[in-house]
This record gives sequence, C-alpha cells and structure tokens, in this order.
Amino acid sequence: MILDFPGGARPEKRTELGKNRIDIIDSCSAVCIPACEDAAVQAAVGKRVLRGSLIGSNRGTPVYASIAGIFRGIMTLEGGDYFVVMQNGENETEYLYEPETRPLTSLTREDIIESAKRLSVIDSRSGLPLWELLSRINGDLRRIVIDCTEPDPESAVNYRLCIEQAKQIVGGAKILLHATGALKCVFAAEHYRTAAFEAISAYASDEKIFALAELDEKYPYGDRAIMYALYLKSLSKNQTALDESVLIVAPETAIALYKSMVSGLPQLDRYICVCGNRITRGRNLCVPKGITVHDLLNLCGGMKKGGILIENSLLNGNLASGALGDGTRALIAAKPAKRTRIECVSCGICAQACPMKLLPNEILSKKAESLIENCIGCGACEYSCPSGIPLLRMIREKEKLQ
Amino acid sequence: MTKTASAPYAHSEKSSLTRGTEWLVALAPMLIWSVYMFGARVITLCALSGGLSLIFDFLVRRFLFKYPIKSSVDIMAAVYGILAAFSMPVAVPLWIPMISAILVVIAKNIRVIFKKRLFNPFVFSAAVLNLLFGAKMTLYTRPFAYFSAFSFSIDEKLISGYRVISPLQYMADGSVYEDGIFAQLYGFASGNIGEIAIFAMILSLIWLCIRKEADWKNTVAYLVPVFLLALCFPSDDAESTYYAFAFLFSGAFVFLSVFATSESCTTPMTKSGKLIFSLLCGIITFALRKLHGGIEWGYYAVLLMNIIAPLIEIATKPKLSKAKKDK
Repeated sequence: MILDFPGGARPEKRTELGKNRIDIIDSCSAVCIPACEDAAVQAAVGKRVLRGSLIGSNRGTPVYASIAGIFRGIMTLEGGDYFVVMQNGENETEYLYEPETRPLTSLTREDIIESAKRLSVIDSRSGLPLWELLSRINGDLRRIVIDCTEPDPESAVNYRLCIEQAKQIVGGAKILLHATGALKCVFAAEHYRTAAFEAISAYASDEKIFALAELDEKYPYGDRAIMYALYLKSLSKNQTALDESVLIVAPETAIALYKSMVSGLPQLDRYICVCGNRITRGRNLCVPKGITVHDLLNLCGGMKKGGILIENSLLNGNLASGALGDGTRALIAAKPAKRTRIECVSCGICAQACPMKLLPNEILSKKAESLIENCIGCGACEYSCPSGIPLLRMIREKEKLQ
Repeated sequence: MTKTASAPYAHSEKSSLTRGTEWLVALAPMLIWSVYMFGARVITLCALSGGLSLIFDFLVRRFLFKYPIKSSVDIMAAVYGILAAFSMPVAVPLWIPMISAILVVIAKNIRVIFKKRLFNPFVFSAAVLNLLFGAKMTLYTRPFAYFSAFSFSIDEKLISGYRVISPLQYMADGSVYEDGIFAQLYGFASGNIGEIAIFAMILSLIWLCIRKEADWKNTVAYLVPVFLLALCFPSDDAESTYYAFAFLFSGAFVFLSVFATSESCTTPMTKSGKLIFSLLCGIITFALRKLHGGIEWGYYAVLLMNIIAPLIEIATKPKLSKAKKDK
C-alpha cells in the first residue's frame, strides 16, 4: 500500500541519478568543517594532521580531520566559521580508538551514546550530532524510522545507499533499536524504489522488528509528512517526531554509526548527490566531511552557465556556499524558475499543496497571522501556484516584520 | 516576469496557460459529439462565445486593469465562453453568444471588486440569458436537424418544423421522459448543445481528474443525493429507478456536476468545503425543480452557492489551536 500525506508537491519529471554508483573520493584540496560559536581548537595550528586526527570540538562533539594535511585552525569564510585543513602529503589515517568488540546486547544506551559522541556521528537529516538526538529520548521509543526518501526528486543518494550499503544500514538500525528500546524499525522510501526495498529486505528479513513503508512520490518529506504517512499523526509547526516517541534518521546516519563502531574510526565521510540540469556531470559521491563546494563542483565537471547551487531541495533549500554542511544530502544545480505573475484567482491549488492544511493565499489579505504562525516554509504552495505568486517569499517577509 | 531569487527555485509546470489548455481539451468530447448531433452551427456558437470572451477579457485586463500584455491573455475566458455556449440550444440567434461573451467577462472580472470571483462565469451567463431570453433559450430542436452555420438567426417556421421537447420540459408538468435512459446517455434526447451527451461529460471528467483539475468526489457529492432524493420522491406514474436516472440525466444536472463543481475559483478552497458545496448545489436544484419545475434551476442553485462559498470555506477551514501550537 502506498502511504500518503496531506499536501506536498508532486514532481512532474524525474531526472535522477539512480543508476550511478556512489564514487568514493578520499581526498580534496581542503576541508572546512563547520565550527559553532564556542568551538575549541585541540590540535596545533599550522602543523600536519592525519585523517582521523582530533582537531577540535563543537559543543562537546569532537571534530576530526577528514583528510591529512596542514591544520589552519578556525577560519571565517563565506557562510561562517570553519575548522580548516589544507591537503598536504599522503592521505594517511590515524586510528585513535579500538573497534567495538563487545556484543551489542551487552552495551547500554549510555555506551552507544558515548560511542556516537566520541566517533562524531552526525545525523545528516537534521544536521545534529546523533548523540544529542539520542540523549533527548526519555524512556523507550516507540519506533525508529530510517528515512530513505530523497531530499529532492533529482537526488538519488539515499537510494544508492540502500542498494550498495543495505547491510550497514540494517546494522546501524539494529544498534539504534538496541540503544532506544524501540520495538520496530521502519525503512521508508518512495514507492517506486523497488530495488532499494529488495536490498534492505534481504538483510532486514525479521518482520517482527523490521518493516518497509512505500511512500507516495511527493516532496518535501519532513518529520510531518513521514509521521502522517506512517502513523496518521499530525505534528504542529514546533513539534518533532521525537515528541511522538519516534526517531527519524537518514540511512547515512545508520551507516556511519555501524561503520564507526565496527572500525573504531570516526565518521569522516559524507554521502552527497550533486545533480540538477545545470551540472555538467551529475554524480553520487562519498566525499571527505567538510569538502568545499568548489571541490565538489570540480569533481562534477563544473556548473553550466546561468545555474545556481541549492542545498537539499529546490522547494525550500538555501543557496549553497562555502563547504558542505552537516545537514546537506544533495546539491542541485538549477536555473532559477521564471514565472509570469498574474492575480490570485483563489483556485485553491496552494491550499491543496499545503501539508499544514493552511490557506496560503491568505498572505494576500491582511489577516494572515495564523498562516504565518503555522507555516513550516516547505515551499509547496509557491511551487504549485499557477498564478506565479511568490507566496513563500511573502510569508517570510511578513514573518520578519512581525 | 518574476525571477525567483529565493526558495522555491522550481515551479510546477501548471500555469494559468496550461490549465486553460487542459480545460479546452476536456471540452473536446462534448464539442465533437454536439457537432455530430447538431451540425456546424455548434462551432459557430462556440467560436463566437469563446472567441469573444477571450478578446473582451483581454481588453478588460489590458486597458481597464492595466495588466501587462502577457498577463492579460487568459485562456480560461475562452473556456468559460465555450461552456456558456454549451448551455444554449443550437437554434439561438448569433447575437445570443455575443451577449453571453459579455456576461462571461463581467462575471469573470467582477472578482476584482470583491477580491474573490463572485459567480461562476458560464453559469452566470446561462442564468442571465435564461432569465432575459427564456423563450429563445428553451427552443429545442431534433438532433441531426442541421441548421445553417452562418445564418444570423434561424427562421422560426423552420425551427418549429423540427421542434421537440427536452426531457426537462417533459418532467416539468409531472410527465415522464419515455425514450429511455440510453437516449439521454448518448445525447439523442434534445437539449442544450453541451448538456445532452452524458457519456461525453464523463470523458471530460475523467480527463480533468487525470490532470488534477477536478475531483470526481465533488461530482458524486452533487449527483448521488439527487439520485437518492429522486428515488424517494418519484413521479406518480413512473418506475422509481428509471425516474431517478431520467431525472438525473435531464437538463444540466450532470453538466453542472462536472464543470460547476470543478471550477475552482468560485467553490470553497478546502476539500470538505467543495464537497459541501456540491452536495448543497444538488439538493437545492432538486428542491427547486420539484417545487417550481419548468426551467433549469441548477444554474440558480450554483449561483446561490457561489455566494455562500466563502462562508463554507471559513466554516471548513482547519482550526489551529494555540495550545496545540505551543505544545
């Protein structure tokens, strides 16, 4: 059965990279790992560090060099502050920790949280450290959802991960199940991703603890969409799935947790899909954490004229700049859409697209408080509007004024 | 032209232009069938009403509302014009579709004053024409009696030679239309050019549903209660199921259930609101027909519901409580 959720934008064409294998890139000219305000440097600036060397910490989460090179400390670049490592010499790896050899059943939740923290596992769906997410859990969780949907219809990285690394995903899911006390883990993906479902089900055959969920092909798949599609739960703007005792993570997170615990090596790689109609050669890539957008574009043959680079989704993503962020799973090179604007004819298409069941064209009237308070900024309304009205932009502008 | 410098960086391919084109395609089965039934004069009526609606609408938008040229062309005006022509008998003089075009443009653009379009343009046109020129608008002729495509008006003696009574007119005085349901389904019963062939309208509905321009649930919400009511209150001398079908397929019931409920600008924006709108349209039409008979009351029921639509929208809008939000 295909599970649906209210609203959302249905893509009209799909030019994704589902057939392209994930190419592993283990070195680049420099890495810029995002640093928070109270980030601390824990390595000698100007000295050579190895891949896997500890270079600092971000709010208690250790930061490791993802390539071997010269550590430049924290630098302010386009888009914020970064721990910068400039590539230099052989890409040697430093193993700081021993692999986890204890059986999973003997580990406590605290042990797994500690491992996730020490090994700097980041949830690429939320951009938050996994240990932080796990620490927020009170008692046992009801469900874990591995969100294998794509952030954008053009992306295919999660699909490729399901096919190529199903064992690691299921392994990571088992660790998470044990850590959270959840009874069941659901793998959710777009319904047409049959190869992904087959690959996952080969390793997740125990129907008592694993389930597959085929979702309707609509975007964006946020916490709200998944919670409604799977459990018919409507979340308000400020609620997350964790409030309903459900942990939703990306497949990449499960892989990183599994691999890091098995090898003892922190999460040093990120999986990303560079796609879109303005990229010379779209690719699914495994790249060092913090790779610069410039290096990523070079790996894909550069961007065609008139293109702009957007993070995650054309619906509600931000312009990409500087380096690859922790929450970025796709970079889409696209030409900004042009649309002839006419007056609102109250056709209601925006209302049908709104996952929060709001009436987005109310932004054109004076009484728009409720709309602004409850809008989650998914962009489905503006995407769908046949009159070309910049609804999301107007909502954001009015929100700023308030 | 707006160039998006902020999210979303993509747009659906659905624009006012593509929507208009999809509606034009939806009208094709009815147009083809009515040309087969009534001859080339149907094309003249539709071209006059649709073409003039498009031109008048362009002039209003360009010179009255000062829209740029590109924004002034709205294919939906032609769609409404053709739908208005579908609500006419084939033998009407050619000045009627001209007036119809004016009425369509008035109803289409009156929304600028009320911020929301008040009346469904083609229903408004049909209702006003029926009020003003009732005699001409109910002069039905036998199918396959082809009249000249370009005669400004048809001689009344010629019309009277082919004149027939429509199923709706049969039922007005309590009689039952006896030529069978299939005659109505295929459009062999006489009536307005676009309202006779039920099967063509079903094809249109299927197309509109595939293109996400219509929701079949609204059509069902319009028709099913009417069918059930007709079943419960049959005419004295008719078998109840036959009567219910004959009642349902007469006049503009199916036509309005497909096109008036799918016209998104004059129906409530919420899904449940649309269902309530359709349901009430059907029930009011049934009640008016049963109480007063004679003319097609469906147009007036839709216009009445158009006025009430904003209230239904408010009533069916999801309530977002502050408590839930702050949780």
